[in-house]
Amino acid sequence: MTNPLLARFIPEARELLQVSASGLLKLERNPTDETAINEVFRAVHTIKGSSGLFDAVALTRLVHAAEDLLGEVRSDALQIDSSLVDMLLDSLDQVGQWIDELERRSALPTDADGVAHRMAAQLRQRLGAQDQDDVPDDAPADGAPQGADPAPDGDVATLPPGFLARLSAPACLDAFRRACGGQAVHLVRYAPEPGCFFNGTDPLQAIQQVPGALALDIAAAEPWGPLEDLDPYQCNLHFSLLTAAPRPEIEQAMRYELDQIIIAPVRPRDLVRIEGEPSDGPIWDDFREAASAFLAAGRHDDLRKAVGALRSVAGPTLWRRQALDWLEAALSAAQPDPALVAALVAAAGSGRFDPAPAAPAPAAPAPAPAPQPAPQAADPRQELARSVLASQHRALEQAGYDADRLASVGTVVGNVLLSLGRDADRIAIQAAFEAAREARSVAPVLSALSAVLDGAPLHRTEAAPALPDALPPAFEEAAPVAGAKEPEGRIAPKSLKVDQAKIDLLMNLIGELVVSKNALPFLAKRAEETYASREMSREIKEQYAVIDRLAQEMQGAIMQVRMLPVSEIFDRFPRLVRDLARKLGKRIDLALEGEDTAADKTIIEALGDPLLHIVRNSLDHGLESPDERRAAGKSATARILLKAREEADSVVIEVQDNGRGIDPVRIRAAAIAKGVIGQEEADRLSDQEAINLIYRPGFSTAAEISDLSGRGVGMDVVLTTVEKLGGQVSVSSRLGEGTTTRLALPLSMAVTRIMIVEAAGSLYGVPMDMIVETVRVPRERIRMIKKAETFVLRETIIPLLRLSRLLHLPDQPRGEADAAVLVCHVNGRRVGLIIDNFREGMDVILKPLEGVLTGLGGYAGTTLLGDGRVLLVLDLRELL
Amino acid sequence: MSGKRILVVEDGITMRMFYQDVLGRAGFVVEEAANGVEGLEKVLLGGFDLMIVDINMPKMDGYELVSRIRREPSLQAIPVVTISTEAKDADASRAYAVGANFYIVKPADPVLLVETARLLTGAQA
Amino acid sequence: MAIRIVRKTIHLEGHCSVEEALPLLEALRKPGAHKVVLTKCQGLHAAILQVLAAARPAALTPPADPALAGLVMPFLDASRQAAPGAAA
Repeated sequence: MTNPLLARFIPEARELLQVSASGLLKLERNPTDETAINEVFRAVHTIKGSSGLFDAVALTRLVHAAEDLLGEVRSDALQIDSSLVDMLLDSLDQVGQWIDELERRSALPTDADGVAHRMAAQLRQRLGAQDQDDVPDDAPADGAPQGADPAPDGDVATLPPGFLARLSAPACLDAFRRACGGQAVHLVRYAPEPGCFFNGTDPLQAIQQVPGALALDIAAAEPWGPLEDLDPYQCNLHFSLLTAAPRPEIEQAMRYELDQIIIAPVRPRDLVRIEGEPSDGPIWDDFREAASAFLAAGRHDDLRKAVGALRSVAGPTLWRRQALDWLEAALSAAQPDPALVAALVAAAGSGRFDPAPAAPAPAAPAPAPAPQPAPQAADPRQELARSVLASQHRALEQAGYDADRLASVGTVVGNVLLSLGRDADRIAIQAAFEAAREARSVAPVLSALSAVLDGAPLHRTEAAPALPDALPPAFEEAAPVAGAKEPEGRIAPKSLKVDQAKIDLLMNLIGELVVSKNALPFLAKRAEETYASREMSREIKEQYAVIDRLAQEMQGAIMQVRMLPVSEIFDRFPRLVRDLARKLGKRIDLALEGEDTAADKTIIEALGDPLLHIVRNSLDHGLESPDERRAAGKSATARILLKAREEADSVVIEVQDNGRGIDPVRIRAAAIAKGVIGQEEADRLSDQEAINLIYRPGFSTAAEISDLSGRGVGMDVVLTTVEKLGGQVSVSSRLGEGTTTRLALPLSMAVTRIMIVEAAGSLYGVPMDMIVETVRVPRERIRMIKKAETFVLRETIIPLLRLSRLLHLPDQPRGEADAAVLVCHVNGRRVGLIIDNFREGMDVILKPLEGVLTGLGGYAGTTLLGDGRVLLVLDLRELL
Repeated sequence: MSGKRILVVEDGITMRMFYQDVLGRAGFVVEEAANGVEGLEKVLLGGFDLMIVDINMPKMDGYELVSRIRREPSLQAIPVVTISTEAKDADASRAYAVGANFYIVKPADPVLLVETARLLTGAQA
Repeated sequence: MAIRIVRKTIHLEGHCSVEEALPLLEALRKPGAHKVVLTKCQGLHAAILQVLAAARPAALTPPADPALAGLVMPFLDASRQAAPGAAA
């Protein structure tokens, strides 16, 4: 994706889609929530506005339909209900998919037009149904009114020739692109009854009701006779409209005129109209040769490239270059029509267009290889100036005399004339403004403006300025204009959107700083030991303290930047719970609390899946159906509460439901049946311990795993994920009253505090959060139970393991009287790790193992020591 | 380089970037505001040659913003272009009625936008 | 109020309805070169459009509203270019 504007649009659109979806859910619960409807409307409106900047007509069309519907809801013309919310959510989902597609391929899929038509028509039907009470709910989906005969099917070839020929070439090219893209393009031929004016029909008005208009041609039905004989009340007009609307929409719009219209589908080849100046030269011959070869070989991609290359060098006014435009459009189809492509290749090569002989198209207009004088030579700049001045005239006329109002009109008129270099007119107009102020009347200005408007075209006194065709292509990637970025007096923006990667870089740099800082104590030690300079050593330590504090503050600051509110994940749930509840036939009220609680983005992002699993599990197994609940004397609507809060250095997230709770008896039975535990162990377990069994691998209480709580993955995945993040899971439940699952995670995981230990002659890091305590155990207190070494610590037997053996390294027997033991809490139990020696603790930034090391089990990652050595940090959970 | 200063008041990030891009390249100095309230705050600081105001915005919409601007003595002379996705006459009339000088339908053609800005600020092509 | 005639100049303003077709036709039937100004026209009925097409006034100022101008001007310009009596 090279278009920076599109790159900006994609995240904006996603954010707005999210806003819309959550707003819609609020509205569903409270249809009179004015804030919510305004929020949704504006979000959808903004997507529509911005999407118009890109080649995404289908997306804009669908969003537009949604916006219209929301507009009706906003003005209370339409009542929002669940089916409407469903429809709108589906449409927004579709838009979301298209946004993904735009991100991947910078273009919408080829079926987008069709999909947009279908969905927009559904939305619009809802719009129409509201003011047509007589239309029954099961009215045919095509929207054609019942009882009316459908408009006759036409064939472009059978229509009198020339209708298409009168349409402008750009309009035809536009229609051609759509037709090649699989969109239906229709020609609507409308011949109003001569007496139609008498029944109140304005045919000009009627034909404009047809959506998707691409071009309209108006013509006299019969040649105009002498003016004396003209009957102004007999309609003598015929209309031909080229539209991208599907047939049902056309019929709906023209439902009172169905007997006077013919709707003809238009094939791409019917639309081909090439204009421009003749040209010749070897490049065209080369192109013909190469293109014919590619065409013969079916190498459309190469043909596209050849067309693109030649288009970029050929003058845009040339006939053959125009032929390339058509060819490019024809090639953009998912399945280009070979005959059409061949005809267009021949046209670009020869300078003449012959409609494909395989399927003659009589209505195709004759080629126009000769140069054509531009029929409208009007300078757009002049036209625009005229339009601006006319607007000032109209505004003043409507507002009447208003000194305040006159001021800006004066500026605008003066500026327009200044811009056009019409100094004489400017002075005259300025005088008129003075006169207006004196007379307290707009009349002098109005007449001066009329004079300018009615008079000679607004030409500049010297050479007329050419339209800025040198204006660089607006959306290409290019350096911003220097000097336009930092004007004086610029107000600092209140917030800034920063690329995630830049934050990560900053994070890594600060990590490096922390590590470099850790080199200072080593240096202090060397100063004292090697250079015998206590003084120097103390100064280094003082400096270290300062740098340490600054580094910590910096780290804290950048952590703050990385903090995301849990609403990032909570916001998905209203939609999810709603959809699942409908699917399961349960009534569920979801409440969110503490959405503002923030945690590091890694935590937040990783939390999504476990939370999803817990909520799905609750929906699936925990919450009862309305009938079941009523029978149990509970309210029919169940409740799930998602609650987040900060607790010390943790973020705690709870999922509470008021469902049936977990039955420890059933859990025990199920665990035994599944072979998770034996009968004896089951009997020993307390109820709470029994409940905890649901986190054992391979456990699932439901007789069968539903598709909702997913693909045979048990709650053990939740536990694994959360523990990997350094968090804890606990569940509490009261039978018949509900279940609460509690996740506690560190607020930030960027920095890991480790202890350095020695084993088998090397240094290793052990995460501090695993270490319970460090003890020195006299040799004689190490006992052998069976074949395992143990020792007793405060009346608890603690199994002992030797780190060197775990790492498959040779033991280095040491003659010391006691062993250094690291008591760790791993996988829910305590173990003693015999090491050679304890070293200092430090904060490190863990880097995951890279390259061939990735597959190595037992290591959490590596970190750089102050003296430049790489330290392996152990993952005790895997190692033990 | 005209150096003329334009304040764009628009809630869509993409649209703001579009204005920056198109008008910035044409030599205008473009400043942005994301809603009506912010727009009013900025324009009150002065020094703008033109305002481009989106109609549909949070907090304070375009109509409200334009009518407030016209009530400020220091801002009565500033040219204001309103911009909206709606091509309806009623919307344009309302914009003119509250004090806009021109009405453009979104998405604006870049050439048209630049030309409009030049004409309304008196800048040369 | 939609039709305003100042000597040989006919101003069509606002929305011009079917009722104005006859006065417009009568004004255009008077001998001489006529000028029709559509600058302030905001919409017109098909009946008005066909009178303008049939009468081929000597001068025609297009509507300021670009949408309306785009709708009617190609047809009116084509009618004026066509020779009298020839098919449009």
